[in-house]
Amino acid sequence: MLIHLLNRRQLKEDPLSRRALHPALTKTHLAQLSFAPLVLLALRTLAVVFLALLLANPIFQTGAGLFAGGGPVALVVLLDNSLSMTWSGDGNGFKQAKDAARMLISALSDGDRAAIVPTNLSGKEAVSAERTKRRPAAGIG
Amino acid sequence: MEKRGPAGETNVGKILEDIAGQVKRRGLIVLVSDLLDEPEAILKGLRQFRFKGNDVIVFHLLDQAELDLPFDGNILFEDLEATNLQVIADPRTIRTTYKQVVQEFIDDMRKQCRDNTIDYQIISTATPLDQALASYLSWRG
Repeated sequence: MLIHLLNRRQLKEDPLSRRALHPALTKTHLAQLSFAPLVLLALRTLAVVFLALLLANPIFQTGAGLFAGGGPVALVVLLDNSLSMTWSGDGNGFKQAKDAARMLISALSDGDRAAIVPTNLSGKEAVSAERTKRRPAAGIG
Repeated sequence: MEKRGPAGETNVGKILEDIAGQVKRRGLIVLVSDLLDEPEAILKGLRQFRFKGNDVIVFHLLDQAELDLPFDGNILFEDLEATNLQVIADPRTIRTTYKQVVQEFIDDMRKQCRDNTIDYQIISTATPLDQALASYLSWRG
């Protein structure tokens, strides 16, 4: 819009009447000529808006939190159950990881699917868990 | 998960690759881990999930003592995953360098995740888990 307005300001004014140069011009033609810059401005503004929309990510979504956006969610929680996760100055890191998984799964809705996959499983076992588990919130302990 | 406890070495990168190759359904992948594995191996696995169109979130679980090394006197540090790896050190002499190395590791993981459009959230045991997750979910929502 700024470029458009600046361009308009740079136009040299012609003291001659367009009507004098083009006697055939009617009032309707003249009105159309003064309307054209506004149409051009609108088109340029819309082009910028559409470009911004094209590049934008959704900001306002339905729902809230981790599973915003609506529709069923397929959640896979990969839990590191290596021995290094057992160390903690005042507790058990693995227990905390399980608590995190429990909290994530408790946020699921009906129809969502979830799997909890410990990292010390073979790939075959992991996929089996993904296929069969559904809302296993009560299964984490 | 009810019966399976922590075991073995951290091998997050390998299991991520295995699972990423077999999970067909697009969805949300959440990794809860201390990330004590080769960073490039972990990121390679996570990138595969992203490549398949999944949303990926990493919860980097660390004990506050792992961040601060708040011990005094000569301490025997023992690797839980490598039975013969033990180091005796006075934390006062290594604390500054240790914290610097840990911070560099965290910063690098955060940057690599950001570069790959992966959400990264560090969770310390000093912050109650529900509070840390609620804070993250409200930020994401």
